Amino acid sequence: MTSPPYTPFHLIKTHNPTTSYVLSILISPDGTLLAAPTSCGTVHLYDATTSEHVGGINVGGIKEAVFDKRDNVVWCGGDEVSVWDVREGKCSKRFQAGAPVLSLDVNSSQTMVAAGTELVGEDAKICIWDIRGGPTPLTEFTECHSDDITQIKFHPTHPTALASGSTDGLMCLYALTTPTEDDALEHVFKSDSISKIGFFGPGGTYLYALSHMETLSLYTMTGDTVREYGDVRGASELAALEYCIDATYDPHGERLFVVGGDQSGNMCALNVGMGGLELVHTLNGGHSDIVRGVLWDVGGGRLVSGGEDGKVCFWRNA
Amino acid sequence: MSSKVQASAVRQATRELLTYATEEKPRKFVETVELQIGLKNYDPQRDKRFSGTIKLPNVPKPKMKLCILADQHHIDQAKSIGLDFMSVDDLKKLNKNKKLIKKLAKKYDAFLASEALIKQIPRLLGPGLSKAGKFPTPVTHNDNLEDKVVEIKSTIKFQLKKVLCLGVAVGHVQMTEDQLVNNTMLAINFLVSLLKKNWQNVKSLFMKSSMGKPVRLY
Repeated sequence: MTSPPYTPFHLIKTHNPTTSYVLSILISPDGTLLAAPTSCGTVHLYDATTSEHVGGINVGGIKEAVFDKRDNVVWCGGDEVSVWDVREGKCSKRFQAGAPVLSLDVNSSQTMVAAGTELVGEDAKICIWDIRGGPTPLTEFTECHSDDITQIKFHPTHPTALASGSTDGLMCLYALTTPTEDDALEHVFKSDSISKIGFFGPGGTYLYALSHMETLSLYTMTGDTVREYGDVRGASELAALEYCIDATYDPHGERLFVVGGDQSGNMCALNVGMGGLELVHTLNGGHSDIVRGVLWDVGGGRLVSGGEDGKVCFWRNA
Repeated sequence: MSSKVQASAVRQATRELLTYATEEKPRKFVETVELQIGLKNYDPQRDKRFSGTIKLPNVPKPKMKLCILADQHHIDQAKSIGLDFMSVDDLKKLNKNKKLIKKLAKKYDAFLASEALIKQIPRLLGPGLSKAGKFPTPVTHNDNLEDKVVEIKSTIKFQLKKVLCLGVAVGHVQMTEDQLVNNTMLAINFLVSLLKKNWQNVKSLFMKSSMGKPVRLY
């Protein structure tokens, strides 16, 4: 008998910090602290080694949060952009974008923060601030998108390379070597209403885009389309993928994976190959509702997930 | 996921709607037929809000005006099928002038562009077409341009925003009953499949012509 081509993750621990949604799971740059922002405005903290809940801070309305290069500082975007020392539980700075913030990121050289907003009136904005500067943005882009900006991602190593994604169906790539929107815009990729984007591949020279139509597309930073996979629901006959959660890149194996889930909270991970998508892992029995965020250390065989059931689940595959 | 709305119910509603719009009370313009989905158990503050597109089997918007930003290969093809086109030189003449680009965007409902040209659009036109929500759809030399035009005319947009209602134009009252039924069924099944709990998020389904009464499907 041949063994199945995929392996299950084992559920190590479940913690239920909230009755609202856990939106995502983040890890500090030194790998010691996990953060789980929730839709009720609390960021819950976990020791990454022991999976122990070590506290929570209330930051107010929140849509997205990211660690910066320091290990204890989390940037939160929601009604405003706020900067928190999570160990002290103190807010050190607040920026206003003039509209609700849906997405944000800090660049690799820790010099700029960028936030994408909801469409208000005629404009969906990208605001870019000098991290050390005051509340006035360095620049604002108002023309590249015509609807909510759901994703903002800086390149993992190029501090001036920025990508944005919107429900208008476009993903844009910018070179922030100039503050002028017209000159900064380098490439536009037309897809569907964007849910998640990210840089991946050796040197981070590729981009993936997941859409609300549950499609997956891969592009190069030089503006070419590598492959459009179309609707990936039902990509595997062996596990139910009803929606995509996010994609994860493994820099050691140089492989990209899509993690998806079903309505009952089961998850699966699929390898994204040139030949198609192939089921590699299942993660069953942890969540009982839609899963919103995953943080997966592929090499370390560890995965942490958070979802609309208010749970944070810790998984191992070893 | 099985559909909670049978094709026979959609057919019945379509017939009712078409009879009213074409026989009882015809209007001086071609009425659009809209599908309206009322949502429940959906919290627009926390649950995903999205826009999207669906490609329908029958063209719901035949009057859409299209233009291709074309390389030489596509200029020749566009001429042969009577599609408006602009060459790279035409685009360069706009000189990145925001007013002229806005005017161009207003003149058409949607744009296509030769694949080779797509990458140059930000440099040639800046973000003007993106702002108008009309960034072009790429066309390769292997694509049949006429098919691509039909595909774009068959593709409709929808939005799920802060209101608990989704509306999409699935056709018009001069379509046949079969065409409308096919478009409506496809739109219902696709839209419901995108809701996080599918039919559990559907409160009501109505079909409605621009000036007619709403007809309940679910």
